[in-house]
Amino acid sequence: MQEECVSLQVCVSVVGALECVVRRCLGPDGGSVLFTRDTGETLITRHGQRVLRTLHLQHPMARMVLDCVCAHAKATGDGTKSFLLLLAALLREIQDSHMQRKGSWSIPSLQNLANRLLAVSRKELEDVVTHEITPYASLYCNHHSYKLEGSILDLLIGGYISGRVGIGQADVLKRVLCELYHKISQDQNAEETISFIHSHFSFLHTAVTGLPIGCSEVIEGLVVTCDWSVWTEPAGSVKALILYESFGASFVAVGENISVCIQKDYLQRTESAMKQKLASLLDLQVHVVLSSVKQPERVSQWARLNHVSLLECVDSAQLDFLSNISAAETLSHPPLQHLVMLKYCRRVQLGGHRYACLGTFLHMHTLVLCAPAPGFLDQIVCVSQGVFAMLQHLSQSFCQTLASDQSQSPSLDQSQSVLSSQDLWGGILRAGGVLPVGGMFEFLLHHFLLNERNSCDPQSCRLLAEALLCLPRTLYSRNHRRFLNIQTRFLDDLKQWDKTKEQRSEMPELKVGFGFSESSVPCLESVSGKKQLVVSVLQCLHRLLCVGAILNTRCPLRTGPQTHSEEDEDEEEEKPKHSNSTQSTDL
Amino acid sequence: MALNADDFEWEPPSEAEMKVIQARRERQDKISKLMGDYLLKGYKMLGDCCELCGTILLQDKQKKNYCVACQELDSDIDKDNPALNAQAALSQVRERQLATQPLPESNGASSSEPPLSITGQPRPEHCEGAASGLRGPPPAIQSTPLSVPTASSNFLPPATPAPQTAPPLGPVGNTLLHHPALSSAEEAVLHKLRWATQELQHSGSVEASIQLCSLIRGCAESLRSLKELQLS
Repeated sequence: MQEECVSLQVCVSVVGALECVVRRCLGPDGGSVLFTRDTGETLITRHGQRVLRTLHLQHPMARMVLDCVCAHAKATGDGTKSFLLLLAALLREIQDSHMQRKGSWSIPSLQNLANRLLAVSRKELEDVVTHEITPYASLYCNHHSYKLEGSILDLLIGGYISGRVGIGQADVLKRVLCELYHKISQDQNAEETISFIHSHFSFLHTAVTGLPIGCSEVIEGLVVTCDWSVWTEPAGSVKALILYESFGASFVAVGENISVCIQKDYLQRTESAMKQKLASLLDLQVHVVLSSVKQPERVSQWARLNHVSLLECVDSAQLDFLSNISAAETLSHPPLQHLVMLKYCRRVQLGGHRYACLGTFLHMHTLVLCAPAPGFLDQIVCVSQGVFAMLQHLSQSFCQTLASDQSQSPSLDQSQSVLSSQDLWGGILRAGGVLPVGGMFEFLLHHFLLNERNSCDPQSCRLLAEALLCLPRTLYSRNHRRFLNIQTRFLDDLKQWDKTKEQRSEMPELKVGFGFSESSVPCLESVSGKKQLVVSVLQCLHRLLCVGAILNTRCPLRTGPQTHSEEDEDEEEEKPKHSNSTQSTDL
Repeated sequence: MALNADDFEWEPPSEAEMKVIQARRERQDKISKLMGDYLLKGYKMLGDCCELCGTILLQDKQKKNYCVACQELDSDIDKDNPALNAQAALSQVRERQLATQPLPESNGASSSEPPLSITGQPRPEHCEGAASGLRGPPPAIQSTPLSVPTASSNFLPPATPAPQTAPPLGPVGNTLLHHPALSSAEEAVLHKLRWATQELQHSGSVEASIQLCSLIRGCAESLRSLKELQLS
């Protein structure tokens, strides 16, 4: 086994290389990456996670960073590229600051710095966001609310999408996603809708290649991506049978004793048993059979003769979902069968394929996403999924803060009314949970961290504050003068705000308008999402700086860094020597 | 968590330190950019570092290891540095020579001080005809019809004694000095002309005939210019 000393230099090189890869895809002006295979397949994407996963990374630090990035993206749906940019900027600041120490960082001092930064993320960051940024955001948005055309949800979705797909596609996608949300939210309140869509997004969307993106739409019913094997148009609502195994398989119920002996009329017996079961189905007035496996030919013949529609090879998870939302009743005798009531059954044509569409009584809708190429389609699906992950994170954190406020001061009636009302998004806006896109959060955090008076670690705050500016700098990299312009005006505004806040005089006229983003329509982003990004980056930095040594083992290489167990083993490999010090950091 | 004051003191960096920081950061940025480009081209980022410079190694699809800093960055710098590279040194000297070398239009003017190449050999010949002329049959003359100007300039330094380092001598002196050179040059050219004519008569291929004709033309032109010189 070989051992090598891990230095700050290696961290900077690894993260620097990854940053250079994704930097070109950041923001609305960012480009896409074209991947080609020897077989001729191409993949054009600017989705950060997809780009990073396609690279060949064998260095354990790179894989660890990729794991952190994927975990963060799964939680918030946002900020893969910004994550790497911020991480790289922080590492470079640390490296530069060590030049003044006239010596190299020793490993314990690096770990100490990492701990201090983590402490900043827990204390100072929390304070600044709660006491400075949120009130500013609330005042700002309320002040400029007359400029907000359309609902807040539209602006949030617009803000998320505009940085990830081209302008023409962003409009279509925004319209379609808002439509899906509004149609599903008819039966439930905002919070439940978002949570429902986020957790079941894989069943609520269908991807279709070969059509232009303008053909994306929301259709009623649940689309199943296979065609009917036997189809008769049923009239009105029908009873459907859901089964997970083949008819011919088990003709013995669980719990019965079986004696195995080959009899002469074995085939005839099984035939008659199947006939009996099928006849019992007709007694139950079942007109549709949904099966997760392929049924024997005998069953298809029976279905054709008796005008029963048969759908085979459906994903069993989708069948579970259907039975959950339709309140299925389970048949007692054959154990793996459910009966559901369906409002209607249809056959739909989507982009050259025929699919089945099942209507439920719960007003289920499916989002049909179209794109000309598979890579682009994959990107659109990821973006759509990310939108709902971001909204879910926002609503969850908002409800948590409300709940904690309520628990602290139970006499507050306001919070209760906000929770119960349908206007979750209005509540979020008023409470200062959103800010305009374009780097406003980073500027605010930079300013407030530098001027934080009751901080116990000003050096680490300064480090973080300087590194934060890398994000807006990259966003405006095409037009550096604009960045400097915005920075100057904004910081002047903030100084004025600070002054008037202390004097408790009337609110200052905030000069910096919504002209932050390049597009004319203002877009919003979630403050809690941005805060979570900074926290995740500092946690990843802590892991990187606490690596004592990398041990190269002779066991075969694993392909793909996604499993959690592999991550643990990497950690075990990487922290053999300094286990004492790392344990002491767990506060 | 006690804060150790010695651990992390921050003071503004001095100018020299700033320059070092900037240079180092630029180099690091260049390396990162190159690595990022190679990663996107399908190279694999390995878990090892280069032994010479400590940069992370990349591996291409043919399983060959590649260090970005050693192969691309540092060689760019060293390649052109004369102190480190003999080739660069030689080419630098030749460039200087070219810049100060007199233009070869008139034979007399500044040929009193023609700079020699370092090795003292005549300048490399630029065409096949000239080279074949060199290899040609006796007399063993160092020049050919096409490089008469250089020949005259090369002849001069051994002929002129040291005190005559002053810039251009009078035309009289030049003519006197050139007489033996001119006549021997004329002889050589005539001889070559005769040889080429003979070869042309016996030549079978078109290419060779064309080349011999051009050689004859060159000889004729040289003779004409020699005559002009003699008359002037």
